[in-house]
Amino acid sequence: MDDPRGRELAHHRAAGRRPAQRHRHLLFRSDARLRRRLHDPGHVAIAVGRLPGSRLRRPKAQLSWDGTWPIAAGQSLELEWNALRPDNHTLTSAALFCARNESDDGGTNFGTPGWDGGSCDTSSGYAAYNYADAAIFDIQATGTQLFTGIDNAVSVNLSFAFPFFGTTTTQI
Amino acid sequence: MTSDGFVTVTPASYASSNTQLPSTSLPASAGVLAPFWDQIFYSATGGVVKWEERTVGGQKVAFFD
Repeated sequence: MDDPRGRELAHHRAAGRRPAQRHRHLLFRSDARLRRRLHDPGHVAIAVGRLPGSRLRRPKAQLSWDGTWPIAAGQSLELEWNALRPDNHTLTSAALFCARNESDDGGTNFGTPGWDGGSCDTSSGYAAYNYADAAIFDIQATGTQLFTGIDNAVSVNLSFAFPFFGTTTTQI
Repeated sequence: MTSDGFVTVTPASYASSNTQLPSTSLPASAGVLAPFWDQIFYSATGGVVKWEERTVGGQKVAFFD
């Protein structure tokens, strides 16, 4: 079985070098060490690790909050789109979080995690940031269009097989 | 691939609104991966969803944009 990581480690050992530390793509932490690093007295902190291909060793984004923020049991919180930045955040209130705990009613409420008619500004939808140090592949000029309207479903045939939920497929 | 932000290998699996998951129309057994669980609007003058295969780092990668 091919083992790229094993070959990489062996290569570094043969060259007398210390192997480079692998970083997880996503890192979620809630511990004192991260809170100290954030210089924040908050009770909980979340950090999102670097993207694949990134040269940065620090998390892409991290934020923390303290116990004064009300988070009801069974409630999920969504950070408002304009607070999504690749920087450190020490938020001072829960105002930027929107409660997402409603079910789809077939009308105005589309349920968690969709818009629940709350106070958050959802008019701008999803936001994405092109990190300068991460590889971005823009296929808009060369790709094949998938949908011609809303509520479309199409099958895509891939030239390779991949595992997906316990099976192997070449089509999604 | 669906314009509601999910992929599945189960034919004809489909939902028109991003209700809570799993749901009647999208049960857990359907094998759903929903990173953009929302209705993605199509616009003749704006952005459209495209896909393309490329070879990156010696590996084939399917991009969906």
